[in-house]
This record gives sequence, structure tokens and C-alpha cells, in this order.
Amino acid sequence: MSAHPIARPTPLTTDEELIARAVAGDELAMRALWAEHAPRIDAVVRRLVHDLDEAADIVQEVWIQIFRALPGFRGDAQFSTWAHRIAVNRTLNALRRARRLMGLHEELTEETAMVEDDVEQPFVRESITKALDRLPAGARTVFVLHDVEGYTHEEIAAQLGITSGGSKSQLFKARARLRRLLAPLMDHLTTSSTDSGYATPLA
Amino acid sequence: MPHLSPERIAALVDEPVTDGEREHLEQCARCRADFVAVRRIVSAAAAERDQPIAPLVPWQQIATALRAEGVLAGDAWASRPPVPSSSSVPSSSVRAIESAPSVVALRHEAPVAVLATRTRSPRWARMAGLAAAAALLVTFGMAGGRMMAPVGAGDGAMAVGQADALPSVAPTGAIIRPCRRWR
Repeated sequence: MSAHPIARPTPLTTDEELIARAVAGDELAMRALWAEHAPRIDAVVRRLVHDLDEAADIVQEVWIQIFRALPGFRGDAQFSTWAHRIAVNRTLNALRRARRLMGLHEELTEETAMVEDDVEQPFVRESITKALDRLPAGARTVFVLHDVEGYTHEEIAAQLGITSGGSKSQLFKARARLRRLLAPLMDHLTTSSTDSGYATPLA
Repeated sequence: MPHLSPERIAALVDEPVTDGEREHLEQCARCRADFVAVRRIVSAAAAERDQPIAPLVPWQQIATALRAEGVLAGDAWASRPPVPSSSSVPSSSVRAIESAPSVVALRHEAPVAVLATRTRSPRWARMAGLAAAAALLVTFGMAGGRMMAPVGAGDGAMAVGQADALPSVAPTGAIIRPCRRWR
């Protein structure tokens, strides 16, 4: 992934001020809110949606919904959290519309396709991003929401209309599948590392 | 004890382990390596959360859509990238408020080269537009072939028909260059 790290300048204007101005119709304030929060909004949509064009369509819908709902934003949560929720909800709704979640309860199918055996690849994250595209939509959604975005199984269950146990099952299958897809890279890293400390998380 | 299943190893990243599983992991290099690998994946995935990506949609496009939806009023002057300050800038107080968002906006939009703005149509609309354009192209091409038999005489008619029908071409004929995406 050729991400562009965005150094955040010292904020001269707070989110609260920008929101107040944006609600009043100030485009510069709206643009500033977008510029500040779009990297994470774009990222979560992109991770959840396999197709890049579809992700761009959804991102545009997300920002329209955010600004449309902004007058109702009461500040109970941070703007970033509120906007992130809108992005996730909107994306999941779009995926449902596309019936991408039809396979949520289906067993993961084995594929012989593997992520490129590129042991020189220095970025595990980039490999994970590629491997995510090979996961079934349901497993991908649960993995992104839990392991990347930090949602609990209960929250995921509520979002997707499944049980907490179902969310866990999908997550573990997704992790196992990623482990298989990333085997060449991960085995290289494991053998070149002295890290065998499974005791910490298992304790 | 048999090897742990891949799903069970994946669960052990954040689920309690039994005594039997712990004993097996201490003795089985294969399962232990699998566990370490899964834990690395989960750790890397968590780190991915704060990684920004190149913007999927530039602000100009969102602003155009907001105007089309009636969420944003007024002209498009604020959609344009900020220009360097000159003697004609507003008062210092206004400049102080506007400078921070402008800097942030420019940084986020840096990878995107937009020569014109348009509202992004849904995919189905774009596909329908392309189908219509193709149909017109065939029609014009056939008509051109029948009516303008001399070589090259039909080219102009075909070009006009295609440009009018393509939905992705702005009325001004400007070109939109998409940003290079990271996938």
C-alpha cells in the first residue's frame, strides 16, 4: 500500500468550531473536516469493500450522509467516532444491498491461490491488505471490524445481525485463512525471529 | 495430543488456553509456529488501523455532490485549492481561521490531479451511459458508412456522436485524471 502519511499540523481550529461553521454552511469548514477525517473514513471503507470503484462510490455517499446529519450531531461522542460509525453502517448497508454478505454463514472454501511468495516483502501489513481481498466477504468484514477497527464481537453481531458466537467463528476462520495465505511470508519471519513467546497472551 | 486446528490456533490469540493445549504448544514446533504467525497477523492488522491511504474521492467531487444534493449552497469558489496569499487577501482574522483547514486539505488532496470536477454517478448509471454511447457509436458508424462513403468522411460524425453521449466527459471537454491508487 502506498499510503501517504499525513502529518497533522497543529490544529488552529477545533472540530467543534469546524462543525459549527460547517452546519452554518461554511464549505471551508466542511472541507477541513473532510481533510482531517477522510484518511480513516476512506481506509475503513476500502478495507471492507473489495472493489475500488464501489468503495469510492460508498465514500462519496458516506460524506454526503455525514454532512446531511451534521446538524443532529450532539457531541456525545467524538466527531471521528461518530463519522466512523456512519462510514461502517453505510458500507455494511451497501454490502448488504449488493448481497455480498450472503456467504457469511457459508464455510470458507479452499483456494489454491496463494499470495505471492515474496519473502523479500518487508511490509506484513501490505501483504495482509492483499490477502484480505481473497477472503469471503463475511469473514473479511468480521476480521476488519474486529482485528483492525477494534469492534467487539457483540458490536459486530449487532451490526451484522448474527450471534456473538458466529462473529467469533468467522473471525477465527478468517485468521486461519490469512495464516495460510501468508504462510510463505510469515514462516520466513517466524524462522528469522527468536519470538516464540506464546506464553504472554495465553497466560 | 493431535495438532491443534488452524481455527483453534487462531482463537488462542485472545481466548483462554486449556492445560492440554498449553502442553501441546510447548512441545509442538509446528503449532507453536502457527500461533506466532497468527499473532503477528493480528498485531499487524491492529497497526493497520491508523494507516491513512490515498484519498478515494477528492474534495471537489464531494463538494459537487453535496451541491447536487442541496446540502451545500453557494458557488464553488471554496472547492478550489487555496492560492498563495497576496495583497488581495481578506483581513488577518479571516486568514487565520482559513489557513489551517487549507493546509490540511492540500495535504490530503496532494496525490490527486483533478482538471475538472463532476459528480460521481453510481456505477449502474455509468454502465448505462457507456451502453448508450456504444449504441450511438454503432448507429453513427453505420450511418456514416452508408451516407459518407468516401474514406474519412464519416470520422467527424462519429467523433461528435461519441463525445456527446459519453457521460464521463465534462461538458467543457475537460479531462478527469484519477489518482493513482494503492492496490
